[in-house]
Amino acid sequence: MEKQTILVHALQNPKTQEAGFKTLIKEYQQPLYWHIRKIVFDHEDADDVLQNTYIKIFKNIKKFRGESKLFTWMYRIATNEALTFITQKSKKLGLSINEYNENQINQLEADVFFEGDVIAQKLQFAVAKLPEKQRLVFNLKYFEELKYEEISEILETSVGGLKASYHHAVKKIKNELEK
Amino acid sequence: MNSKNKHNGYKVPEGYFQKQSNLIDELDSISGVEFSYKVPEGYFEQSEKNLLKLITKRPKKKIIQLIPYAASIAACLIMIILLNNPPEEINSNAFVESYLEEQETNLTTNELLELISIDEIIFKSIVFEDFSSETIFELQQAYDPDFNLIYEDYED
Repeated sequence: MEKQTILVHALQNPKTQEAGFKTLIKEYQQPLYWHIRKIVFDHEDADDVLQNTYIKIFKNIKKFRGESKLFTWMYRIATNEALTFITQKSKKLGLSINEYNENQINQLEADVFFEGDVIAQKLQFAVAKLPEKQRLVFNLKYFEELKYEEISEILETSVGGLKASYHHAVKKIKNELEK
Repeated sequence: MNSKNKHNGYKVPEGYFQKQSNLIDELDSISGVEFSYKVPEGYFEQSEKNLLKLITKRPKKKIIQLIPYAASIAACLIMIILLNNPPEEINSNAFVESYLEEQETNLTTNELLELISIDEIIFKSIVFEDFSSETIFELQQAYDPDFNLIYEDYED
């Protein structure tokens, strides 16, 4: 039996659910965290969203029918949770989502949990400045090296649309790095 | 099918596709990128414990934040039904459900929302999950611009 199927069975059975969740947390906590972090930028925010994501995974695991990959389903939840978090936080601050993201980007330099060589930072800034959809696609394709078909399941967008977004994102980043 | 037909006669500048793949190569060359984002020391170990606690001690029921809006949405839909059916027929959820399944209304979201202002609507209940996220989102955005859509249901 495939590893995912075994894990899903474990998660859906009350007797083995806790053990299943331990495995799920061990295996996916870090990739999900980094995926979320690149959307919300701030560590504390990423931590909050990660918790919300796991709560939603736990609540909804019974509805998982194995029609997509488990990890793409979890990434979809994490993406929605992160975007919802940004929407809520920007509204609380009376900012548009773009204004909020710009603030977050500007604060990156002062963030004690953001460091690296100049080029790496420049790349992260360039990625952070991309429109939301392009940023999501770029992160998933370039950094996480997912296939278009997998990204398509996560973002519920056609492969053609994703390719176009990725192409635009790469061009913008290149321009930004050449400044 | 030959390649000319396949692309319907469109052409791209010579070397165009080569140029696109070069962009990726160049990005690759500048980013043997060690992640610029960092986490506090020991974060993942602690987080793993926190997540486990969260899941094993979570409350049995969580309030769904959409519920306050469900009444308005239900009211909209009931009004559409009331316009087309005598009230005595509207006496069960089954009726409402079957009506919604059978009908496709051409009313816009705003037209639906205008119907809300009629006071004497009485409705029993409609199962919230019957509506797509998109419909709920659209209705609620129009009803309350400060609304935040909270996703509670995830299917794969």
